[in-house]
Amino acid sequence: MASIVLTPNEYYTGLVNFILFMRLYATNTSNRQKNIVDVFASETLEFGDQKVFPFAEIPKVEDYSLTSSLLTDKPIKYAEEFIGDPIRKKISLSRIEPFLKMGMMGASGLQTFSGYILGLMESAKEDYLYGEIMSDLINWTPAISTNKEMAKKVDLLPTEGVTDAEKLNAIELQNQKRIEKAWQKTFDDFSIYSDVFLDVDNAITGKETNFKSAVNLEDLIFIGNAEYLNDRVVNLMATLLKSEVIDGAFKRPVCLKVPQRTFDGLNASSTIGFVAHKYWYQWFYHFVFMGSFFDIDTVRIKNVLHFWYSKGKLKNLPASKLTANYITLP
Amino acid sequence: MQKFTFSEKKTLLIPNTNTFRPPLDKNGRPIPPDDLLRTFGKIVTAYEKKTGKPVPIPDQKFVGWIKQFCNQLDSGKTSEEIFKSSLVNIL
Repeated sequence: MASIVLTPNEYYTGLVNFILFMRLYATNTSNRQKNIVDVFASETLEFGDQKVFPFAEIPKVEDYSLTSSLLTDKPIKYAEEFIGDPIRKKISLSRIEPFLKMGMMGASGLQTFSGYILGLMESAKEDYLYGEIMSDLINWTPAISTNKEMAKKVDLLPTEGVTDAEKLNAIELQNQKRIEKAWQKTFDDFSIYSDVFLDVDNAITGKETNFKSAVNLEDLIFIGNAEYLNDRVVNLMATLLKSEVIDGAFKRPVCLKVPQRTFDGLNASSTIGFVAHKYWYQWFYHFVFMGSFFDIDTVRIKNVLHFWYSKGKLKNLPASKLTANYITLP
Repeated sequence: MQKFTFSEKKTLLIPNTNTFRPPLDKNGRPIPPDDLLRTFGKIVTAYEKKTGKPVPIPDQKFVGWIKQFCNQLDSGKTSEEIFKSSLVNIL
């Protein structure tokens, strides 16, 4: 059989298309660690243009009565939330000569070239999505505040101006304890039926409802500002995850440490973190498409990555934001 | 760190960062260069065997080239030799 010899055009377009095929069918099952952007991703939309999330109120418990009748109509109030409307983004990139040379050199060059194909554009996408997600989360303010506990303040002692090491240690320890206690109370409270963490108004006059929610530990996500994730909070998380009732089959809550720089950059340095249902905030792809062609005229590979996605918060899932409130020392 | 030499005058060094993502195996480890091409070959064979169809990309000549590459690697040729003999290098 005659030996197959490829022209640069056949080689580059074949290689890029093959890598994309491989990524879709073969290597996307790799057990690599999830990054922060992946944590908030939900399933890609299979068809249609939006996801619908229905939720219903809890029926009332009544006293027994001989005069009651099954025929009395007691409809359950029901509501829906939607996340849709694709945000359409794309990244274009022309691969330049050094990369092309690299790809022609041998197997190691080909591997690096493949690494860049997978890496550069995905990194740009990830960088963009990280900014979007963090901005959405950190700037979140609940719409309803009456009788709610979605925005909680934790009173902390200021360390400014304190130079004595012993005093400083004592203040920091006290602050750590207060933060730890606030985290603990918040996720404990999530486990009982309540509407205080839902951004849903049950008390609209004439339209009263009974939307409530309770969440198991395994469905929670903890998102912490690294600045406030001190040893005590980390120990609290570790204790939580090492509890005897948790065996290998237990689905652990998601504990996410977000770099302090992200909070500082969004003017939210005093935000301690969030406790929420893990699907409270989510984003998902409508589709991702990457195409390329080799332009022999300019000796460039031109790549385009389209990613259409939607994002949003669900008001019927519980969430709470902890913020530091530095009090004045007496 | 990946190291490439285009000529004696120029060496390109690429540190591992997030912008460089080598294809990973199922355990999340980078696949070594020669193994990557063998993996390409295995994927082609496995896909064709499982589905009874060719790999769904328009570049079937490239798919044939991968198979040929794996056979030549098995016969003892180095990947550099195969590249030189099976690519029209214009660069």
